[in-house]
Order: sequence, then C-alpha cells, then structure tokens
Amino acid sequence: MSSSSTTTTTTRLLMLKASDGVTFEVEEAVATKLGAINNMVEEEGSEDLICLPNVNGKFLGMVLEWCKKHANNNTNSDKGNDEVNKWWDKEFVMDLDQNTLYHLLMAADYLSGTELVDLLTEKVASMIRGKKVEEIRETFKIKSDFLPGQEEEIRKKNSWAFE
Amino acid sequence: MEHQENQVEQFHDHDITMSYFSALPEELISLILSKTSARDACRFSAVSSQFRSATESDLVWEKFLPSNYSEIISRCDSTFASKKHFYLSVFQSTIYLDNDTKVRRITQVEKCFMGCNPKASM
Repeated sequence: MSSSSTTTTTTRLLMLKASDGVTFEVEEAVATKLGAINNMVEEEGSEDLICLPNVNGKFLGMVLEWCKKHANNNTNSDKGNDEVNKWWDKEFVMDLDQNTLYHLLMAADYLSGTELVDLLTEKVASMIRGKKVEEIRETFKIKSDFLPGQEEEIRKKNSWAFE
Repeated sequence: MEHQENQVEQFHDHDITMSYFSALPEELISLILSKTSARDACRFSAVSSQFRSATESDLVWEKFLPSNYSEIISRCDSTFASKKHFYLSVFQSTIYLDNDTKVRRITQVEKCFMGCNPKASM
C-alpha cells in the first residue's frame, strides 16, 4: 500500500475494478472527483484496489474519462477553463443514446459524481422541455398506464400547461 | 482508458423495447424535472401515472419558486399541502397575505415580479 495522502498533488494510483472485471488505473486526483471513491480513499489504510460491483467497464470507463478531462482542465491555468469544460461537456453528452445515458446516469449517481449527475440530468431535461405529452411518451418509449379519464382530469386541472 | 470501442451492447437488465426513463429512481426523475419548468412538469404528470410521486415532489417545485418563497408562505393566511400546491395556488387562485382585513391579494403584476409566472417564457 502506498502512503495515503489525500492532497491532489500526490500521484497515488488507484485500481478501479468494474463489475465485469475490467480494471482501470487512475490517478487519485481523478478518481476522487467521484464522492464515493473519495470517501473510500479517505478511510485510513484504504486499499489501492477498489471494486465497484454496480458499474460495468464500459460505463466506468466513460465516467472516468469525464473525471479525467475535468481534473486536467481544473489544474490548467484558471481563465477559460469553465469555457473549456462547458464545451467538452457539451460534446460528451451530445450523441448519447438513451441506453448509454441511462447507464451513465446510474453509474454517476452510484459513484456520487455530483457534477456529472448534474450534466446528465440536464441533458435528459433538455429532451423534455417544450415537448407535448405524446412527444415525451414517444421520446422515452413510455406507455401511459392511466385509467380511462384520469389523463383528461390532469389536463383539465392545469389546462394552462397544455395550451 | 478504454471505452466505446465495444459497440455490442450486452445488457441483461433491460429489454430494448423498455423505457430506460421509467427505470430511473424517483429522485433522479425529480431532479430531471426540477431542471425543466412548471409547464413541463405539469405536462409530464400527464405522461403516465407511474411518475406521479416524482412529479409531485417538493424537490421539483421549489426550483420553480422564487428564492424568498418561504417568507411568502409564512405570510399566507392558508396552508399548503406541498410546494406544488403553493405554486399553483399563487397562479391559479387568489392567495391572501398578512391576515389583512382589507384582503390583500397577490396581483398578477406581483406574481410576475416574483419571477415565477408560468405563462412567462421559460
């Protein structure tokens, strides 16, 4: 076990093991962008190998890719970093299909990656905004499970929202 | 870091025809809706009854209220079952403030001033 300092200047490497056995060697400063990893690392005598049974390798890789970009951008000179991060975030979520979006969001939530959860929920929100009820159902393949008349009642109650 | 090269999806937990959105935990659905608008959240409540509690959540509706909403609530003469109830009361009916015998209504202008008029562009 290497000495465990929690400052961001250490180059301690962590080994993250996904549910399917895929492992990632990541700098501590990158992995600790995830709250769950940060908590584990802060425990005294923590192991360098961290098993994450709820995330598979594909999505853990994507989460870590995001962490790495943000960790790098944040250590560069300050000005313009927000812009760089924003641009990169936009690219990151641009072409995600719903399957990937779902698994990434679940992974980010499980790993307490608050900023990433924010980014992904914002992406989903953008897929809802301004859409009609039928369009939302179509977008997310949701089947209505209302009893006859129930939907009408909801529409009537807040008719301004359905104008 | 390796990723994305594996195009073959192997998921056993979800059928391809199933809605991924429906599989999200309630808190995440509420978080998503809190980033939309009152109009979107109302519409979403008509999508399917499975989202009922997520769309009613205070987590969602407090985001649509002005930051000083708790002060306004404390001055109201009536009580509200939820943040959604408060929000809709402000805009759909009359609410009375400060126990005023002259019956002080929140006017439409004030509602706009409060910054949470659902008819405004969102």
